[in-house]
Amino acid sequence: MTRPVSHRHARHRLDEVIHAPVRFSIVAALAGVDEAEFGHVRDSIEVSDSVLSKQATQLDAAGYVKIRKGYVGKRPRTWLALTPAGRTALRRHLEALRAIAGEG
Amino acid sequence: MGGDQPGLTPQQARAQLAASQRQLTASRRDRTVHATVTAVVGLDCGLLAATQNMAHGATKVVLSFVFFAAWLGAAAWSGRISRTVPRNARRWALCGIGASFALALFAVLPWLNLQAQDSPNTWPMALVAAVVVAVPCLVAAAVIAVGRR
Repeated sequence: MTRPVSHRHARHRLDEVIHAPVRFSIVAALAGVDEAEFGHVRDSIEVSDSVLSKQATQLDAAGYVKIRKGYVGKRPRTWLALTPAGRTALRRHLEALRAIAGEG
Repeated sequence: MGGDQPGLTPQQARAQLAASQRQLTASRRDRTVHATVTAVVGLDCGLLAATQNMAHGATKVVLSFVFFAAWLGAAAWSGRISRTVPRNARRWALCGIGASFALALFAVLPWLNLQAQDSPNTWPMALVAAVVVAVPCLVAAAVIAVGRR
């Protein structure tokens, strides 16, 4: 018999998209602002352009991050923002982490 | 889900929780930039509303153009130099600008027009009107500038 969700182990509530270390860093970093410039996020979480681009695209596909491309003068600039779904997923993921951390 | 669910020890969970505290925070400069733009838009709205009955003809057109250019310039400047948008800054800015517009359209302009029927608007009246219209944006700008404590 399947247990109700509320009685299942906290690890079942971890978000598989956010669980990956770089994606977790991106989502956690973006939680503190409405929007951040790509280069600023890259410098903050200390990854390369290509890694951030790839992971941000996956978060975008999951609906957790919105990627906005634009221009400042003639220079292209990309902005990243956490979506409401992303904020909810992060909150649930952190709750699951707290539940697991509380077991130790 | 289920069998593929990532497993974590309590120690690993605590490490991830500690990592989650490393959020980006808007710098003082970014907060100042966004607050300045909100304040400029509010002052623009106030001055535009206040000068509607004070300026006439070409002067009125030129003033409207100057206020509009200042608005666009401030928005472009913020996009160029800021690297983050502070948390809730857009919401505060929209609330402030919306309230300033509403005040201008539904209170200050009708009052100035009503007063102008008896006697021409004076500069002190225009100044008061401009300040009243700008207040919501100035409050929003202050909130954005102070940011999260």
